[in-house]
Amino acid sequence: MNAWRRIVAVILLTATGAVVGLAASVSLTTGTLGAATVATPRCTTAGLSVLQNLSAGTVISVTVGVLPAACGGATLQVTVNNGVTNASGSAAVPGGGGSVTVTLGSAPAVSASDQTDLVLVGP
Amino acid sequence: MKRIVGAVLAGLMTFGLVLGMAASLNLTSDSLGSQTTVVAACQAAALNATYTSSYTAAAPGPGYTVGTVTITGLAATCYSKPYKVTLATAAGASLGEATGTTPSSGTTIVVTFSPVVAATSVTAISVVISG
Repeated sequence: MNAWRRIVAVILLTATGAVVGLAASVSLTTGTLGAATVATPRCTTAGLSVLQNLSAGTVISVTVGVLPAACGGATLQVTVNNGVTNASGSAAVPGGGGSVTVTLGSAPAVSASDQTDLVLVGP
Repeated sequence: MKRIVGAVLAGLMTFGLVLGMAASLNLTSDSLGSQTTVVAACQAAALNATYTSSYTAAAPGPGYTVGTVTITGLAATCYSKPYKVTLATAAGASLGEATGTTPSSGTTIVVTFSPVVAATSVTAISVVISG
């Protein structure tokens, strides 16, 4: 009878060992990882009116119009480049949009190829 | 008693045959271990990006460019971790990437792009924080 018990014990130990072998696993830890992509929206894609205000052959300010209400609260930055020098200024867009006159920090001379750049930042 | 001995012998013979068949293959194995764990973000609260633009006469200008992006809303759980910020076009093309380590205090990350990026082209921003 003791022989039978030994046989059964050996069989059980063998089977148990196999199960333990299958259950073995590696230890895994991880750091954090967070990522996101978001569109940078435009407050308007419509055309804006741009008018240079002149004084004695120089550009002293720029009036930007047709600004929609969606641009309200944004900061309008304007730069006039006459090919020799450039002058910039900025102003806040009213909450309801409309038009904004930006006074330039200096008054570049009017030329035949003035370039006016503008950007709306925020809100 | 003879019946019992006979049954035991028959069983051992059968068991022995099975073992004999199983022993006919020579099989080895490389190790294989697996585990699964969750990859979590360091914070769930939203971050907000704002842009600082300036006029640049040289390339990529003449025109307005973005040289600094300020990201607010950083939580303490994301302190002192590596980050990457990418400005991209609508088609997903990268305009510039800035890397650094988040601060160890405060709620703001100031990201500087060098060279600066044309503001007209920026239509998407991607942020990843790891570690």
